[in-house]
Amino acid sequence: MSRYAIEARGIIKDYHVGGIVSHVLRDVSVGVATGEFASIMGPSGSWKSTLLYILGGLDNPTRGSVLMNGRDIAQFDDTNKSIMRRRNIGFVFQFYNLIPNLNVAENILLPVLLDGKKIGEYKRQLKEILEVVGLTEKRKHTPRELSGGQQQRVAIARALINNPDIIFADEPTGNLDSKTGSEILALLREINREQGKTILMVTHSKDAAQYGNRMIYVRDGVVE
Amino acid sequence: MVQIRDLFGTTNHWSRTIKEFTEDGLRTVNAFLQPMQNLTWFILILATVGIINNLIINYIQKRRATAMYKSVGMSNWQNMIMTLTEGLSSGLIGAVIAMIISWLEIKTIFLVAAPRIAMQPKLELGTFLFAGALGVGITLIGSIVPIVKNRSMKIVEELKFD
Repeated sequence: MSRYAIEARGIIKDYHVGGIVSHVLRDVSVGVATGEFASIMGPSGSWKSTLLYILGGLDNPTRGSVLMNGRDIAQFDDTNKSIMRRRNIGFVFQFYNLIPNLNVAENILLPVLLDGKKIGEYKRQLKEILEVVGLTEKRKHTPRELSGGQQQRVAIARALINNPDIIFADEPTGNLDSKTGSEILALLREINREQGKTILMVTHSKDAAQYGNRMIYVRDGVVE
Repeated sequence: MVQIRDLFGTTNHWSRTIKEFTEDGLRTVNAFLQPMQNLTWFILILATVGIINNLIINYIQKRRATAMYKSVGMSNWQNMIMTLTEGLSSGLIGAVIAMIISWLEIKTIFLVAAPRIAMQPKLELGTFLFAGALGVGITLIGSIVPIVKNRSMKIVEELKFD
């Protein structure tokens, strides 16, 4: 049994544009231990987000494997990848990516709905998660009625609803002011400490990275 | 006594049977209606292009939303069901409305525009149902493009930028 919640082995990612091949990730091997709050840091254009998306199964490596619970998710077909996204991972994006015509509660319950489960069974869980992210009063509001910070809290709640093993966050404070950003990072740290969730976050800010307990530096597609 | 021969004996004359008269009349009416029939086909093609164009625009607008759904676990199968359900329901609603409106329109034209014409249009239900089914079919065919395109969608590219 691997001690890693997620592990990349020999990841290579190439992009083919107009007959030219760009080698963006070059033989990256990295693991994130269960219960860790790791930050992937690096300058703009270091391909850190690409690494995160590959680790989270939203993108495929050109070569290499991504192991989660001993299984190579890079080899999963669409059905298995979709199931994994619903049950095993949660994603928090820079631009929240909430469905605009669904309210807060519906957005949070979306992975549950897609998994074919009954929403009624998740009432208690929804209530608890809304309390954790401090949005109990806003459960009937649509995303456009919320501030950026509140929308990001909804995204975090959505990432938590199915009790996933790992939460991936791509620049979760990149679109927020510094005060709200700090609140979001403190919330992620609290989730990591209180619930023991493994968190892997991409950031270019050293201050943001310090909320975690490990930093992974990426430069020019290589982990340093 | 006036003889017909005396009145018309020196002029050319001709005669026609009722059958010939009817055929001649139908030819005139058909010649008059032919452009309208051609126009009907043109309108049908235009409507088809319009429906498919709407569906493609709808798909382009919804690419990001679809990527959002896929990022939280929607599979290609679920996306196909969702897109087909959407296509079928919008096609059905559109077809029912179109059938009712065109039925009423034809009836109203004869009532308002030609009240002295002593004939009623013969409307066949089958024709309306066929046209409705064709509309639903076109909407479903239009749903195939989004389904195929969404299968190969690169989620990250759709989500990365706001």
